[in-house]
Amino acid sequence: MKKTLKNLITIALFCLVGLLLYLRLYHVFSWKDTSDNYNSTLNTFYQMEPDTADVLFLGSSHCYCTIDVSNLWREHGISALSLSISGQDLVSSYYCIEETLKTQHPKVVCLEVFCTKIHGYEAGSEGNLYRNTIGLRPSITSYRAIRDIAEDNKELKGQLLSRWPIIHTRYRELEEKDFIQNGPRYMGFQCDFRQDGDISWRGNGYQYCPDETPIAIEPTEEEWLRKIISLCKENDIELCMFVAPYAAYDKEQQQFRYVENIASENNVAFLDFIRLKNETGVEDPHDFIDWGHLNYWGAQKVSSYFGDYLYANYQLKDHRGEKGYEIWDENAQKIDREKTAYELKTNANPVTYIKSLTQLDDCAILVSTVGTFQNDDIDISSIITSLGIPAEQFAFGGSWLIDGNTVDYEPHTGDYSRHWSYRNKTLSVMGTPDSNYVYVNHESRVLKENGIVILVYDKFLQEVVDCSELSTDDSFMVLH
Amino acid sequence: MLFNSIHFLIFFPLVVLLYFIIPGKVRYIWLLISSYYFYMSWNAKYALLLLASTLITWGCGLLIDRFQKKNLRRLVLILGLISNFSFLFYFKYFNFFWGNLSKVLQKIHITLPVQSFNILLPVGISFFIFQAVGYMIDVYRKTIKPEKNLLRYALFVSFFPQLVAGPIERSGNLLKQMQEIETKKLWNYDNIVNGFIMMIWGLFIKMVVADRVAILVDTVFGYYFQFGTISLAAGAIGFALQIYGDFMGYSTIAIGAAKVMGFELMENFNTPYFATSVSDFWHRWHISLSTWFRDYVYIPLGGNRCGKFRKYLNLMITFLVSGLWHGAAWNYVVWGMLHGIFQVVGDLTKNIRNKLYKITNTKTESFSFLLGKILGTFFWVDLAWIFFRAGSLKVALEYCFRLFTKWDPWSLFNGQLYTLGLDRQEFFILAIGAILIFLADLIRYNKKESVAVFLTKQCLWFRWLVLFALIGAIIVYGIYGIQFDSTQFIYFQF
Repeated sequence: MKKTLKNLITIALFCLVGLLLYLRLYHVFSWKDTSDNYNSTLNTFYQMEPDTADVLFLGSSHCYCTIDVSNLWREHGISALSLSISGQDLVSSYYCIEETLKTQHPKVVCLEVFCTKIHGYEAGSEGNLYRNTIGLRPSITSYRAIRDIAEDNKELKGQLLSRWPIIHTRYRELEEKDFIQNGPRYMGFQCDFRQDGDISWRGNGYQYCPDETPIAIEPTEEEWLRKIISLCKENDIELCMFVAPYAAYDKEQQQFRYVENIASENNVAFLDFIRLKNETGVEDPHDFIDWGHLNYWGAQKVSSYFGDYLYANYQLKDHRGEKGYEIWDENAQKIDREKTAYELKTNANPVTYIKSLTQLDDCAILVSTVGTFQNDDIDISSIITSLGIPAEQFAFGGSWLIDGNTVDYEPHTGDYSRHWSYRNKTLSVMGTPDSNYVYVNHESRVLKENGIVILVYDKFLQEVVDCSELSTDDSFMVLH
Repeated sequence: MLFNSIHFLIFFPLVVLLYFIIPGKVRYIWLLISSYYFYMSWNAKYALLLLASTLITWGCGLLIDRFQKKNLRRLVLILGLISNFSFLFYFKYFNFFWGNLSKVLQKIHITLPVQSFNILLPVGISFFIFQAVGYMIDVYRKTIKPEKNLLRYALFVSFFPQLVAGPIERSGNLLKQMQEIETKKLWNYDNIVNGFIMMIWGLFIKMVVADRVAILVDTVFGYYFQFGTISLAAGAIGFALQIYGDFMGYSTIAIGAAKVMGFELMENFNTPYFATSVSDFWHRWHISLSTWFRDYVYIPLGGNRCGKFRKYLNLMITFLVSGLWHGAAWNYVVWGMLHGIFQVVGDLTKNIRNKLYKITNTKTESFSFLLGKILGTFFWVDLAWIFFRAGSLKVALEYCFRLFTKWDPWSLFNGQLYTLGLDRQEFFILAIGAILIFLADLIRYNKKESVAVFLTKQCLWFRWLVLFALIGAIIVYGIYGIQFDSTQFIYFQF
């Protein structure tokens, strides 16, 4: 009996340890927020303080390329969250609202209606499907979402419900963020600085269609649209539908007229940013990445207009400075810093480049001289010293790490090596009398001989945001 | 229902749990229901075939036992054999037979009507029919008494862990355990732990190693006409690993699953690639089938008791039938024939080789000699595997031709091996898995104990560490889910 009990305890303990390891493994492999071309922000959503988000944006990539929620925060203090996901269909939008309502009670839900043209799992890529389903935490809501999205595809349903058949393949793509939370959280805006995307090939480009005859959308999509309207009404949420600026075909715009009519029937606000082209000032191709997506500048124009509209029509409170809303500051700072990094990377003028370095906040700047690093073309010494490097040290040459008010100097005499460690990066300079190398996490960043290498590490973004070389041969023109 | 499916992950614990709880008298009925459910999850209709084979062999067993006259006993046995093998012939060999007959008759200008029998091969048909037939012969030989309880006998034929891919059990072992099921002590911690470890180990071999190397093998065999010696050798060696991992993995899971429920199934593999001759290989590979052929084909044909020529003839017949058992295609027949030839030639040259060793003063007891024999045997076995894997005899011959003529050693250095479907990371995972299988076989070879026994002898922390690592590897590195199409165990088709 004693032995049996001991054996039972061993089995129970084995199961317990196994369960804990499983949960840890699941945490690592679970679907995480993605940025770049495919956005998802559900992880950020789950980390938010309850009852803080006043506005919820939903929709496809058109939405997260159009709406910069940090703009709404910066200009009006509106606490808005975007749960827009690549290829988000109306079923996904519906269940995103349901999931949101578990912890938040937004006053306004803004639904970007390109998703009225997306039908369940049959539309878009598998990646979009996974983002829309397994990004949700396992719950009755996610079960129902999978059931309704996968429809009668039993195999797919099984894979989505058990998740592992999909997420285990992530062993090929695991990153630091899968193990530990790193970098600032962001709230669903694709900050893209590409410009002049070719949109002319699609339909009439970014033009409002004069033919306003409505064309019906698919009955299934209409059904889900009406469900979203009812869900918002039941929960006392204002719904606002909108069409993001893009090169829409005439037929698509006529379908939006149909959606507008449904909105009108139900007293739901409707904004068509194709029609509002002049009001927002969005220009093509300058403000577009491609036919369907705005870039940073285009997004600022629409977000600013949208922010004004929301602030004027929905009595939204300004939450800036309030406790529990730090995540919006974090997000705004992230966007600001990405813009700063972009400006740094596109600056070729040594004078203005170094000047902008002096204005950086919470960044470490590594300056390292290589070979003959001064010439008569330009007095580089007087420019560099503005970073805080003493002129006499610079005349001698070496490496400097400027971090806030401290300047750490490593003279280049004999064989030398120096390392500065930050949370997830180690910046190193190594060299001999004949050579000099700068490394960031094993990766060499030196480009040429004779000149100055500058490396900028943003401690907030936790990444090297710029690495440039000012070569004597090119009159110190900044090469990134 | 595959062992490596979510379905089985739910099915098995439920079956075991209820099996442990319910009264002893109804345990076999519960297992019988579970086994039929297991089988019907593939194709419910084919359960009728399983049932028919069961009823026929059970009835024949009773009749054989009842009749005293040898002629009558033999008649019943023959009828039982004909009816069972006709099932096998119809479902597995009819199209093959008809196609070949049609080709032969065309030579003498006789045209047979074109038949398009769309016969779906019932899963595991060769396994359960051989098991049932073996029982009938055992009763005929009076080595066992017939089972009077139909349900108990039906469980013997359909016992789910070994139903679809063996081991092909003998009535003397499994049926005897079925007869003692009511009095069996179920709660045996060591059995449960051992069985669990075997299941995990089997799943690891199948899902992490066999299914991973299958990607490379499929690429090489699919586009063999594009590759030279190195890639083709990688494909052939890969297939040796794949079929071993696949089939040994299945057998290990089957034996483990049975063990959890307190049943001991026979061992099916004993370090086959450590064999020092092709004959030795067949004492280590698919043991349940090779002993079945030995006992029910080779020995009844006369075995090695009727002179050398008859011995070789019997050997060739046995291996040709074995080849045909594996598949209704000429490449399987040639594969069986090659194994027969290897053994005949091996036996014929034995004296010459021994003399040669003596003249050259070869140290036949040394490790290097043993290693040479092992590698030599592997070469012949692997050469035969090419015929097994290739879709047809023509492909197999072309594959072999290219393998020995398109010499491209630079492929070892220019990264071509990483373009065969597995990149460096996948190769690394495969290599770790293959090394683990090699280590497990080495333990088995030297210590004569399985991975499960070896692990149960270790400290708890080590056992748990290995088990959690294996489970983690299955979950993460197992080939399943999206982009996975190699779901079937290879031996299911037999």
